[in-house]
Amino acid sequence: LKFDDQLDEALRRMPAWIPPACFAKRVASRVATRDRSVDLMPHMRFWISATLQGTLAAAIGYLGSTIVSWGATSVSAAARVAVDEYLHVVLPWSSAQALSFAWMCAGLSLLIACMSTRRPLA
Amino acid sequence: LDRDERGLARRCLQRDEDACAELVQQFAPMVGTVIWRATGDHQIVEDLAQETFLRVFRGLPYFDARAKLSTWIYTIAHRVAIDHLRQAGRWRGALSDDDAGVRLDTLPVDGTSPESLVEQDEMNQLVREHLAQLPDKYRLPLTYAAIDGLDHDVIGAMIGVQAGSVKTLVFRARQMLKARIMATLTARCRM
Repeated sequence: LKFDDQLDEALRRMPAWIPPACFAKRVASRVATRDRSVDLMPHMRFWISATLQGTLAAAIGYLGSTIVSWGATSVSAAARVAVDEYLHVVLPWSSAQALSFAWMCAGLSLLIACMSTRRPLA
Repeated sequence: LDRDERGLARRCLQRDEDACAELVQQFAPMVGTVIWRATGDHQIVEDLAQETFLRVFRGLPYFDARAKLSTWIYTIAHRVAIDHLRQAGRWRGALSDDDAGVRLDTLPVDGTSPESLVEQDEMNQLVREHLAQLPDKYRLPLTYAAIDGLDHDVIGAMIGVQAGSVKTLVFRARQMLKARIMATLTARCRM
């Protein structure tokens, strides 16, 4: 035989496994036993998972409503402070400074206009 | 055959113990052989074959009926064997080609070299020794391809590559094996 043929022959001759006589029955009965033990579980599993899910949902609901109520209180307080601030500080100041502020805006826009037209005119 | 396989799978799903035994009976020799070839350890084959079938029955409700049952079972057997090799720290699947330790360009073109004078029994021994030392990436496709009834498509599905790649891996594995055996025989001749 050539070397390659010998190699192929050696690979082919590697042994195959023969299962023991009782192997199939043993595995099948193990699977069946396992199935039966699982059969008893569905009701219990349902109630356990339902209880856990219910508890989780209640916890999330409580936490969520606490956060929302705290947030709403905070937001309303902040809004109240902001409105007071605006009415008593910002508005009077801006009324007093309105004319100078307007002149400043006008000057600024004039400056920008000059700068942007200088190059095309040149 | 496919219809038989599907019928058998359906009966197993209905928890028919005889059908389960029939399924095990039908596929156990191939499953055991795949595991034996993959691990090289005869002692562990029965336990791993049993583990394979337990995984098969656990996964049967999720089995895609369009696929081939036998291929699916052999794939599980392969994974069980790989898991065992990993746990035992014997998995060498990540080695690159350079780690294989052979130079394929040193192989003679024909098979009529002096090495062909070696006896078949000695060759069997040499193949077994050197095959065990190949990187798993090459060893597994070659050993699986030598099993009757496993074609390249099935092997590809088992190891997760295309059938064409299996062909390439088998070819390279053969070349490596040949190179190693020839190196051993040449060293023996020089002594």
